[in-house]
Amino acid sequence: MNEPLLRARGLTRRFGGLVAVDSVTIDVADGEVHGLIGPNGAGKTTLVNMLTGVDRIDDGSVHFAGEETTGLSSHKLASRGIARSFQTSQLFEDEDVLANVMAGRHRHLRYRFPNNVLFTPRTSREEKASLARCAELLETLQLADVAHRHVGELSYGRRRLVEIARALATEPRLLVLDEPAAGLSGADVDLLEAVLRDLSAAAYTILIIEHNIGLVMGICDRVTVLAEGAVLAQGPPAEVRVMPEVITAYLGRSAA
Amino acid sequence: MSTPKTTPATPDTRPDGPPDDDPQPPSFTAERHVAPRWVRWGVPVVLAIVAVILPFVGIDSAQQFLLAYMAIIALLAVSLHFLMGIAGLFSLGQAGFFGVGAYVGVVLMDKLGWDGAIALPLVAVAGALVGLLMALATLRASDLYLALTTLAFGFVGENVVRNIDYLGGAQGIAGFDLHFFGLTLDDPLLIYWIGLGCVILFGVMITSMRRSKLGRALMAGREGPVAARSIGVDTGRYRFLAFGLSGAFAAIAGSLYTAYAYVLDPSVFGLTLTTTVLTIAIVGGLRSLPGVLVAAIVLTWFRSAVDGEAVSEYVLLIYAALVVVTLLFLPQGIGGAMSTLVRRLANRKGRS
Ligand SMILES: Nc1ncnc2c1ncn2[C@@H]1O[C@H](COP(=O)(O)OP(=O)(O)OP(=O)(O)O)[C@@H](O)[C@H]1O
Ligand SMILES: [Mg+2]
Repeated sequence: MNEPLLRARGLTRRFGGLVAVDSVTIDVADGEVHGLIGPNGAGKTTLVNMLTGVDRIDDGSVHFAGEETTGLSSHKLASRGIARSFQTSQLFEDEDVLANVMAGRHRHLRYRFPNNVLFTPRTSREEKASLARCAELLETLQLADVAHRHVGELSYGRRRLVEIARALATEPRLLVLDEPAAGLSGADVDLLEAVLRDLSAAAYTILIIEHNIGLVMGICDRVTVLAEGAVLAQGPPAEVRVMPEVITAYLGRSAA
Repeated sequence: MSTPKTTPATPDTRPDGPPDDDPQPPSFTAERHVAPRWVRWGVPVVLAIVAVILPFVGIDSAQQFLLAYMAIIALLAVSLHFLMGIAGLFSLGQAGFFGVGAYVGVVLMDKLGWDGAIALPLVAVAGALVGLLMALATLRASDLYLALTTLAFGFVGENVVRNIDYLGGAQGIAGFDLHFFGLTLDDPLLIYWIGLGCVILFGVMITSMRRSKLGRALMAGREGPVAARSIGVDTGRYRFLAFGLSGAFAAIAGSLYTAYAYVLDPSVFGLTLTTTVLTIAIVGGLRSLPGVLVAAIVLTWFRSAVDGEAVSEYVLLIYAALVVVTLLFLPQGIGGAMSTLVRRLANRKGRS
């Protein structure tokens, strides 16, 4: 069997007395869309923060693309090809949409200091290529018409799409999305689903936290269910959704 | 919906290195410009040329000194514009760089007798080193702590030089013999041209950076460090760069100031200077290079115009009032007002 792209073993994160993530083991295979679901406060965001270097890892290990990456900082993981969006959007507020997305090209611009301070032909060439790629991404995410609008002026749904565009601009090997559909209108959810399908078809690997079960069932190859920090179930969505313990976790103990 | 042209997930083989194939021309430009290209390029070039030849229109000695002083203050203000406006690092350490530059300049050019052509680049290096030290000392600090720590650098510098007899102690040093490419560096016009050259150089660098990787990385670190790191920007590293570059140019301003003032004492590390450039940067608009330059010229001119008058006692008070008024009515400063004006004019022309 192939080595999974992302392999996490026994990940644990404690906040004081609370064990937010409790020795979680999760594999994300190359090319799969992996759903991470679970009730509020289950530890999904915390787990993803650990996988992307945003939060500390108290225990356990992470391997990405065959190399150990436990405890690497966020920017190092990003340069190795992990990009993400945040549950509460983290955009560069004082900039326009295009500048936000162009920033995502950071790791692909190879020119050095002198080319930065004296805009040379090489700078111009690489910037043009970057711009072309970002234009493409904006078209894909239907953001081209607002390219020069400040992100603060955009609707909530479009802000989420800008964040995804910025993550995609890094050409990630693993795209991590934290509730991208939360708060989106029906049309925007459809657009998001279409985009994710296309990415999946283009062999992108995606780890997605999502509460919208319809979306999860529609696009995920496998899901991991988290409850109270621990893995409750793992497998194809159709199998997982009918497991009694999953139903219990979602409906609450009293309903069981 | 159109199929996204997403390349397969093998990033290291993607066309991301030096692009060999001609990129498709995008449907829009990198920045939204209201003014046509020749205006955006032509105006700064013409203004720079005017600034260079300005002394030849026949100005008296007092005006020459004013020009020199304006260039020095403008250089210092631009260094703050870069650090605070572009990199978003709220620093009160500009006087620290300035003072270090002043003293290192005097040691190299006067005490050791080196020519400014060699000494000034070394002064820049010294300023950059102090900048790196400042970045190191404030690595995890933000906002208030950052401001206070950088402020402390000035105090430390002032106290250090106060206690070193070689550097003139509290009295300082008066009267030097400084040279630049063999020319005596007491001519205000020479000081003006060197200062102006540095302003132009730094201005070109900043303008270029803002359109490229480095400037975008600084922007990202300023607007959202967590998001910046999530796209691969090593925010700590860029902080060092911002402090280093800002320190280098601020130190040169300090050296030029000694040549201009012809005396050097620990007051070059003083708070007055920091307050002055902070006022200029805020009134000019932190993010706007043209705005900061305009504010530097106008405020320096104002300061010299009221010199000797009764109001000169209240200059700092007036500065404080200006900052408050700016923040209330023009949060983007003069620069913001200027770009709004240009946009309005362009719109009007577009309609008629
Ligand atoms: N920085 C923190 N300090 C203390 N407790 C925290 C911290 N971050 C998260 N927690 C706690 O850890 C638990 C898991 O939180 P987390 O945000 O990971 O849940 P989640 O599954 O993402 O929930 P949601 O669906 O609401 O986003 C919660 O009980 C939360 O209160
Ligand atoms: Mg969450």
